[in-house]
Amino acid sequence: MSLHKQPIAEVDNIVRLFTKPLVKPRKGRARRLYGFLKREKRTIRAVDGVSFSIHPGECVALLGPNGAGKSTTVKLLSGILCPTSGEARLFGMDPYRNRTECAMRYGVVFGQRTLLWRHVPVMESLKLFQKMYNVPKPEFESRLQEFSEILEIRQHLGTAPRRLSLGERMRCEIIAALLHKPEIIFLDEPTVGLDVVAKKRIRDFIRRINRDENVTVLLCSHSMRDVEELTDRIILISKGHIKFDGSKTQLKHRWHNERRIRVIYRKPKTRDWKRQLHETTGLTDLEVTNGQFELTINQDQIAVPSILKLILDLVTIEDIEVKEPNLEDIIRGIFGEDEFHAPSQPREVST
Amino acid sequence: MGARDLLRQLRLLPTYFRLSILTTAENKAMLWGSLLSSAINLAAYAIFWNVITTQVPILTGAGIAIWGRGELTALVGMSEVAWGFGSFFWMGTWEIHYYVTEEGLEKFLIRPVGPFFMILADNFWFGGLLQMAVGGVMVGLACVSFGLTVSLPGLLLGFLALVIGQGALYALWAGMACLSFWIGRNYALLEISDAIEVSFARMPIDTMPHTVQQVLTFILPVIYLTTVPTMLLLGMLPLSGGLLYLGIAAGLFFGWLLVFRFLFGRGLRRYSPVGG
Repeated sequence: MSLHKQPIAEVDNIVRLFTKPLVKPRKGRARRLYGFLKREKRTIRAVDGVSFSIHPGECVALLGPNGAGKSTTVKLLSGILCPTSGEARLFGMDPYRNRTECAMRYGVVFGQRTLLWRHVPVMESLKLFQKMYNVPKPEFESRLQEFSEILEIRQHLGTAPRRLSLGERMRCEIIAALLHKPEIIFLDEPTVGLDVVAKKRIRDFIRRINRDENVTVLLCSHSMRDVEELTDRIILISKGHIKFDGSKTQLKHRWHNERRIRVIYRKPKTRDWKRQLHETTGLTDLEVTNGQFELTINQDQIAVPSILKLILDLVTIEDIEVKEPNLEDIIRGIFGEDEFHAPSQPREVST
Repeated sequence: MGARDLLRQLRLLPTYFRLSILTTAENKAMLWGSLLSSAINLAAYAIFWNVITTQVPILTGAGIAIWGRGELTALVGMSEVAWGFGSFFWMGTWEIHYYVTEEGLEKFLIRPVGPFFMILADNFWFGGLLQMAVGGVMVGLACVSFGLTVSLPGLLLGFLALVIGQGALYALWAGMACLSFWIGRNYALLEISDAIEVSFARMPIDTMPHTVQQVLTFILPVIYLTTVPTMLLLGMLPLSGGLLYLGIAAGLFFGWLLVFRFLFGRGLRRYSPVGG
């Protein structure tokens, strides 16, 4: 990451409101008729004062529960949406007002929808993009050959996207987004619905283009594996606001200081070892089964070496394991189980 | 849009035509269905005008007198040429409301070409060219069967009037389709365009009441789809009259295009993506 350079993409206190029809039950025929004739609307803050910047070569993950404002942020940065207030800048330009210029220099993949022509062979769509982006033919051919071999998709280029599997189609979409050598690529759920092999292939490819071609990556994904393996920096977004912006290590340190300790023991050294463990540590979640137990500690309250020393004093150890929480545990902990998996409540501002 | 953007879009046209042919080839049933419906339309209108001109003597008096059987048959053929051209080139205007409310405009907004051009090009329907050919054959048959003469300037001016008039009419429909940014799905609203085009474009508008003629000349550019092109083609209009009509059609085209651009621009500013 080269922080001395100008940011390639930045948003400054950006806000985007959406208007949606308000559906509410009405009592009485007259009121129902009124509701039928005049639709009431509500305004929702999809993104509410978000600010961050991304530098060339960075690989950034934008994480958050469904409806948090991730995709809206990506669409504001790629010029698809116009901000209600605040400023988005891509390559130093307003991406909404300079959509054509910006589009020449970025690539986008939306995992949920195809950007290729559904009914014609993939190759025909790629040839159209070659002309659209003014890619010289030799360069187009060499990049296509290289990418299709890496992603093992060459044999499918003659098939229409509607006849491809999701994994095959996604690999074609990624090639289409990268053929014109974009400086930044927006990946919105690029591995959604894919099997583990396809996910890995796509992850490896993204890492490669980030490293070898210095393509900046902004990734929105619910797959923590994608985030763990690909990105250096994480931006957590919830209900339209940024909750965290920093490295994975900072995230782990700031949000989750917990450790899970799993102990397999041969025999206790004292009869009332469990009571002593409880009294000394104050821990109540000790689960003991068939010669093993697990406990979770918070390092702010008790240090790992202290608890290990205590355990060694109380039981004869056969094996011991100290586990850091993975990123998914941390994110789930931050957003809460329900918020992480269910859509967040709309942030209504007026009706 | 600058000259460079326009040039890039024009350079893309052959590739889009190719994609259109491939898409048509993938949907053969749709192609044969549209050709069959064209043939049925043409036959029905040809029979209708044949009945009118041969069996209802009162209608062959003043007003419709310049429209003999041959001219009316050519007009019916011309209406299919206009319909085919609309299906080929302007089909995308019908799809705007669908993209806004259901599929999303993202695929058009992330490319380095104008989104409206992409919507049109994405929906080029090669079958429309075949419909145009069917209509053209009917015009040719009418000329041969009824001894009508066609001049090259008349042919060129007639086709130009059709292209400009169609542009004006579809710019108006595109503007109507843009209302979906505010009111949501409005397919029924677009069916008005279908009704107007089908009802009026297959009849000689210069024989209609004065007010209707005025509306179909100065507001809804329907007269330029078939009536004016057929008259120019068959030499039924003096050159000065033809040029005047072309001028009005061009004015309407730019006027409705401006309305469309305004609505499309405002609509994009408030566009809410489909599905987040």
